[in-house]
Amino acid sequence: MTAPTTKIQRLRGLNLAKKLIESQRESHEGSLQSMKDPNSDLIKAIEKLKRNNAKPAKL
Amino acid sequence: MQNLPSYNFIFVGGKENSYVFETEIGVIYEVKFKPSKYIFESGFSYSDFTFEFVIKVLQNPVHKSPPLDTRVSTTTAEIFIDFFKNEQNTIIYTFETNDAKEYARFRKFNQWLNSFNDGSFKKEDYKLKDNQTQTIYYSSIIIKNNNSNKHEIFAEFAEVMEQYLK
Repeated sequence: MTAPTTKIQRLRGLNLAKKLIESQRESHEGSLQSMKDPNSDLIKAIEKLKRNNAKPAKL
Repeated sequence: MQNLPSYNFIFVGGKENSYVFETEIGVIYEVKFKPSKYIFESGFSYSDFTFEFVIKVLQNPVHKSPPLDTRVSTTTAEIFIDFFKNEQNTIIYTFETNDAKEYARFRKFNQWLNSFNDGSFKKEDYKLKDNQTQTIYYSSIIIKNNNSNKHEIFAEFAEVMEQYLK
């Protein structure tokens, strides 16, 4: 006889989906915090990106 | 794939494998691949190569939803392909539900993936309903088609997700 699926098991997939969305939000929040730190790697990368994009294109 | 030029992007790296790019109107996007060992049971061999896909706007000078820009899709595809240079990598993506537009996001994601997937990527989707809130959660797992462990990884993810579906 197959064991009945328990409520805990049944919630596992749904809980994971919720956790994954929460994880995305936390990750984004972490990046927004890094944006406030002028010494963060993220800010430095964005500054470099903007400098590169501001360079005139070579003919 | 459409022949629209992509934007320049930079690999920032860090714990979450971050990439950034800037659009022509100055919107800064960040694309991340966040390590997610916890998704699988401890001891699962391929956990170290499992990542959550995150794409968010970091800076937006127009202060409203960025306008449709097909170059964003092109650039994100290039980043995605770049990250999959390690063909062992597995991506999990669950679609944000905070504004009840999760299905629209899911459809848009499928269109986007189909626009550059020449058969190199294989995807499986899961749809889970929260009976209390009626919210539907869409999750996708994406693996390189030439990943020799893909069947095992798909099976393991199915086991995690389908325990709810039974």
